Amino acid sequence: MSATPSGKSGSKNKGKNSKSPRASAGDGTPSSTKGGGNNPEHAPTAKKDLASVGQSTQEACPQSKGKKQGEPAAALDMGGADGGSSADQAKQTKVKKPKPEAVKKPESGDGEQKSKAQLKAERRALQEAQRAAKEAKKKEAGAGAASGPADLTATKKEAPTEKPKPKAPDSAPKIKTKAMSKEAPKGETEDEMWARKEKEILGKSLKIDNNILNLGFQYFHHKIVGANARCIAMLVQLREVIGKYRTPPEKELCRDLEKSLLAPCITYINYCRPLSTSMGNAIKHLKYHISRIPSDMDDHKAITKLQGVIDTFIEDNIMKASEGVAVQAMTKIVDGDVILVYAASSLICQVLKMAHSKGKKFHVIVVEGRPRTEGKSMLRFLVRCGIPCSYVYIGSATHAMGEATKVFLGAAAMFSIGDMHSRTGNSMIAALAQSYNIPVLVCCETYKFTDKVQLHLADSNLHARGRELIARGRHNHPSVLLTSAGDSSNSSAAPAPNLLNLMYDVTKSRHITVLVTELGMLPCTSVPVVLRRQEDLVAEV
Amino acid sequence: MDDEAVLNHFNELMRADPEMSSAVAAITTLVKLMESSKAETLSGLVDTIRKATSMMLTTDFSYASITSGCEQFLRYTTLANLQETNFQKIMLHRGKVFLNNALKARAKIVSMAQQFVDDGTTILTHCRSRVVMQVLKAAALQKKRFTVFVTESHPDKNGYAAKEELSQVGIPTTVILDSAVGYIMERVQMVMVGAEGIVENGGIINKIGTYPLAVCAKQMNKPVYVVAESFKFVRAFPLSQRDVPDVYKYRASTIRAGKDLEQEHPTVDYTSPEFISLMFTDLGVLTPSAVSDELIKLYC
Amino acid sequence: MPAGEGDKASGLKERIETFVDEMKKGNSVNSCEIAINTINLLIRIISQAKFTSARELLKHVKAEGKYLQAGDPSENIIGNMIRRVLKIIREEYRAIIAQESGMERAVNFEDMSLAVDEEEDYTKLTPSLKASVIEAISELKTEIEGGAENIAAMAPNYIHENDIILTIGRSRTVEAFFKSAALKKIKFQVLVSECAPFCHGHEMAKNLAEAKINTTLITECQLGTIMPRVNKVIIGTHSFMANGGLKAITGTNILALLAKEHNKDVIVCSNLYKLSPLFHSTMKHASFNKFASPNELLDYEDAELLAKVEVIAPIFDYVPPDLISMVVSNNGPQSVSFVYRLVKDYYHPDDVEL
Repeated sequence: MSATPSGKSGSKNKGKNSKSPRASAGDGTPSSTKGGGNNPEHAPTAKKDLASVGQSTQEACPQSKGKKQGEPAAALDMGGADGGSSADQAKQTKVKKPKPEAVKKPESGDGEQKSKAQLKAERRALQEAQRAAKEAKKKEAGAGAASGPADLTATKKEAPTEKPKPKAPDSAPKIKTKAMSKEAPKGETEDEMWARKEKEILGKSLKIDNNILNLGFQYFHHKIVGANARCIAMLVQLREVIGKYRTPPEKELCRDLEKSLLAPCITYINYCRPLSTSMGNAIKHLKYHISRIPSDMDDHKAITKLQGVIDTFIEDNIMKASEGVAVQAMTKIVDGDVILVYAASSLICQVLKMAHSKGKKFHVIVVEGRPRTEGKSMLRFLVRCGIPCSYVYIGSATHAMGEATKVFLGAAAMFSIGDMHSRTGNSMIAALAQSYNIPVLVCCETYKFTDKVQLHLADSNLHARGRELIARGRHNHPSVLLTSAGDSSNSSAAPAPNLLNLMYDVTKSRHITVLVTELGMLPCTSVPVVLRRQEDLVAEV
Repeated sequence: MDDEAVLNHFNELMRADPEMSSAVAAITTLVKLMESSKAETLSGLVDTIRKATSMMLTTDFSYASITSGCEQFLRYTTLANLQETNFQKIMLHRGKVFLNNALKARAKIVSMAQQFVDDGTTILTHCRSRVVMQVLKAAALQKKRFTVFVTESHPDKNGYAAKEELSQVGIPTTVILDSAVGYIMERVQMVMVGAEGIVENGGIINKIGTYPLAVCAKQMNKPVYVVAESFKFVRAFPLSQRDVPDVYKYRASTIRAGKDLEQEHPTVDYTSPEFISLMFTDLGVLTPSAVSDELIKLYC
Repeated sequence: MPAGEGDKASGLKERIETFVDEMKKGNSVNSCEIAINTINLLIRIISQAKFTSARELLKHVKAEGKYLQAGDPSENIIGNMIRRVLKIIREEYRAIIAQESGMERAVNFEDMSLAVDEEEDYTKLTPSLKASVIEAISELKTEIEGGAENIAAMAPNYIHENDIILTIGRSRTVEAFFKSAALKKIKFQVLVSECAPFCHGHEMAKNLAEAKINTTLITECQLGTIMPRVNKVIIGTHSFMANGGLKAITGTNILALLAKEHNKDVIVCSNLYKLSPLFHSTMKHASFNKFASPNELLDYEDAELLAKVEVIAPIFDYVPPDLISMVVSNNGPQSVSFVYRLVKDYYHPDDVEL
């Protein structure tokens, strides 16, 4: 469907984009595109540099081409719409694919030539990582799917002999700014934490399926962003992994599949970046269906069935749902509207594109938030659709608000009390819109609804690096902090400020005028009603 | 001048120039009275003025305006180093100065307030305030293009007169129902109203219907501007609508007739200062809190 | 002698031109320097002016002032300084006249009364006017220079142990304010919003961190997330409007709005020379705002976008007075609703329109 615009424009624009600072930023070390497929050891390194949704999905579905072609394309589109970097990366892939000679020798990284000591160290790191992941999971409400016991098993299995190092700085669940302060003697700096995390992720390369490894690394480096894109990418990879699964003798598929295959994968993914609600719900859905596979069903049949479940989930709960939302939301756009949107959302893109294609005349104001500057990819998408746009930073959103007639926001999740969980900045836009008496329309597919509730989000820097604040954007005026805070290891340097880079926030339901879902326009208070309905539906099946 | 003559003079002024504020008419009358007064003593003169004031208050014109204007006048004329020998001269002089200022006030306000009318704005106003009309007309003369919504303003339906007047100078004007204030509010950028009296805390007493207008505007974060001359500042501090004295709320004739006031429609309501963004007065553009400042200077 | 005077005059002209040029280019330094530069120029203008009456002087200063202001119409501080000087001339004139006629100014009933301002024509000959005006202006200059220190000295009254304070962008006044509190050994935490796209906040964060204050840098989009954890908001401003509204760096409005939403106090640190007698009820007034280059937001690499997209990059925000809790000025803490009075103290109504 809407794969065409981002794809086409990508190739149209390749020269320009490869020059753009952000595209090249992710491209620090050029390395193999194909490495991931055959070489488990290189996979993460390769992916780190060149990972893309498009690529990974293409690799993922070689067997089932005919019918499934829509999905990778859709995933690609989602990625393109959802996040700047993934869009860029997707383009890059397109650029590189026709010239395989561009593929260079894979870097001889951590994966390939490892001494015994290194392996051992890695294993230790891995173990730490899992511990951290477990703790992270406790904090991370969206990640309800990966279960504790499974985690334990994984730990036992992979590091059976080693004892947990007590002195290891358990940094993952760092809370807020205070925890990040450098004065704390045992604490590591945030930079160190990220470096360690990366190492740990690399260290897992032996244990987990290659596809998932790629995926995790893409999540870790924010190559795939956006609730839909992340969810689809994960499902496509899981589908692939499940396809390779064979029930070991003396085991039942409905038990073993989840325990020995799914759980470690999810733990790993969650460690790379905490699961989104969309992913959590998808996993829940999948697990439910796994548990219902009769124990006497043969492997092939069961696997085909589960793959079917994944396909229908992507098709119905994500693709069709978002189309449904677009149809609903579009009815609220009238000629002459000035629509304000914040950052990027694949769903909002779809809504606006559909409204535009139906001949509605409206103007869009894209509000941008640093440091991720995702709005730019949104802007690019809209401009290519031919929609007249304005572009403004969130600090100056007040100036745009005077002209706006409607505000459209995309949600990462809806909590059951009606609050919206979404990219940080949305809550400000909603509050501002309310003070200007501008209606706020939140677009969200119902599969992102969750019965979890968070009031004020304290997810700390688990998702994103603080250094992005000073490293990204502002090419023409590099931050003064880049030089001063650059060497955190240098203790003699003057103390540098902490950097806080939260990724999500919570918008209060009182700031939301209407919730647009594929079921129709709902008040925020109806979230629990929808959740209950979903439960009932599952029960009926 | 006896009571009859005072009343006649006042009524005559109001009839001759409908654009004149009742307070100005009252002050003019008082100056006239002082000129012809033969009072021998200071207290005699003051008594005469007080008596004339109460006479004028028996008319059906705005109680708030007349009382504030006359009180200020009296206060101002007597706020000098008065001796038994020359008090008439000094008081008359000061009275004329005061009258002169009162007459000039409106022009001052108009030149100041019209700057706040932006090109392309939509303004909501209530009833027909003389000074608001002048501000809008002056802004139109500055070639500003703006739209006006005016409430029809029951019971006297002065809104239609306002529409007529504004349309004549080419301002697109629409009369709306009093009850349509909430409906129209999202389309306006500012609310501009006049005032019959401005009380100590910066709240205003104005034509009935101003209060819901201001509440609505506040709810929708629209600025409410009050345009009024400083002689409308009155030393009163209503706590609530009930607390506004009946003489302000009902016509003198209604009260005299001894009707059951519960059954009568009040003519004014009280709008507290938190609903008011700014006041355009001849003393400058003030925040509501400045009113108390000015009143303290005059009375304390 | 006449040759020397000619030199002086051309020297002054040159200085004025340089000043106006600098303002036009917009590479202005901090607001305090603008104020001082303006005052220095005005002192020179007055000392070289030839006038027989205060009226002529007023006219002369107004004309020159208008020219200075034209360099950057949105830089209120220039206008403020000119108006302050005009007021000084008026006051000095009245003082001299009062002294000559032996009247006591204090018991002037006219002053106390409502609605009355006697017309003053400023035509009387007052030979000592120049000297006394220049003296008074020099006093004003000293007051401005010491303002930041005065404000900073009040910091311990408003910053307490374990406070989490949010600020935006870089304000020298606020920086001094925090440092002064830190010197008093108060332990508090500062969150600095970076103020994109200009990112002055980075410098602020750096300076505060170097002063051993626990500082965290955030982006604007995190303001909403962080606000519930903040105790108070302390900000600087570019200038004050006569209704108490602020003209401050972009992002301040949304910050103040969120603070209001969460019931946090917004404290504005500002020297009173930033108080302008002008009103800007909306942001649309032509002289209110300045706009930055779209390049600040979009790289030239994005030429495709630049051509088709309207980039809105205002430099200032208007912050309505009801979002501000108090102002810490060099004259002590002030309520926003009292600003009208300060305007009256500092400026003559006839000077508002230059």
